[in-house]
Amino acid sequence: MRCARPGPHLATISVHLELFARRLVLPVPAGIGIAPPQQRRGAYVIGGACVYPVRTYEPTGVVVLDTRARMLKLSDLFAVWGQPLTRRSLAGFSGPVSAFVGGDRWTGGPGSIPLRRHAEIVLEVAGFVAPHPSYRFPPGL
Amino acid sequence: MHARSLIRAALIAVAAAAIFVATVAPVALGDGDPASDVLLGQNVFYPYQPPVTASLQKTLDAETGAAQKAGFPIKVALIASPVDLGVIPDLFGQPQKYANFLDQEISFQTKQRLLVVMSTGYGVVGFPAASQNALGSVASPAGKHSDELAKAAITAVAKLAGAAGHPIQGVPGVTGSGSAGGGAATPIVAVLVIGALATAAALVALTVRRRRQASSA
Repeated sequence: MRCARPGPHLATISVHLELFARRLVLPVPAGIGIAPPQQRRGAYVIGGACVYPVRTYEPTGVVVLDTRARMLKLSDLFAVWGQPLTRRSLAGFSGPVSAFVGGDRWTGGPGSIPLRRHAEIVLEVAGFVAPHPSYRFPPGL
Repeated sequence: MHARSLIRAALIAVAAAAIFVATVAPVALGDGDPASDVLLGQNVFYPYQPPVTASLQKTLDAETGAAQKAGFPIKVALIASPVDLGVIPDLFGQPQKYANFLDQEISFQTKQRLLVVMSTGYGVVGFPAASQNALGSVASPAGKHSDELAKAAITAVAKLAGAAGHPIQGVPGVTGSGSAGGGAATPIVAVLVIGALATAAALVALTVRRRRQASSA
């Protein structure tokens, strides 16, 4: 994936990602896929030197994707983030990783989950938290 | 170069997240509402649509910053539509219920004082009884627009802090903060005072002049 300057009319879609480790929330930080120097406003990252086709502007788990990019997978997000994601490892936490999409268990490897528009994805390691089936996305995302 | 910096930034973020997880005492009951994540990094969660006017954001940010400096930190969540609640849109219109939910998510290290504002009213957690009583005298937001929620929050924060013995000081746009910019009535009062002073000065000058004229005659 290439880090490119964001165009003014770059079409995007979004998915929502929730991470849990030991039944505790693991925040998905703002600024994944946005290269330094980052411009910040409070808890938000509003820009940077360049952006990857998959990125986060806010710390809410909302992940933005360029529509012109090939069908991206969850492994692409973690690659840009620089964090491990396997069946037994999630962002530095070890143990069997459970994955849910739209509230349903995902039986494949978590990295193979496709990032489709408005998908609600939940990953859990070392404990179970009832996964949310959906997320109300802001207008325009 | 960028990739290396990006990785470094990501590692820092994950380290912070790991520390966060390691220090969480209670079991997380849920996630997925944007305010719970945003309020970890700032004092106010603003609605997605329509955005709150920049001047009101500045005032509310300054007000919550002043409350923090005064030793009375307050977190504020403005909820204008179900979109602002993410995975729990059903709590829209129930500010107290959502405040209780949000409190469980953000009060993991220390108990937070939390104010939730919806068009239907307020929800609060962590305030003393005097503050809660004072909030009873604050009118609900004048409408559903984000700006109306922000205006209501500005009034409510001042009331909550003031009633707890931590009045907000020196924030323009906050009534009772002691700032030159505070309150709609302030300019009118200023004009009246200046007018009265000018009139008094003119009368004194006239009196002195007449006395001089009388003494010289």
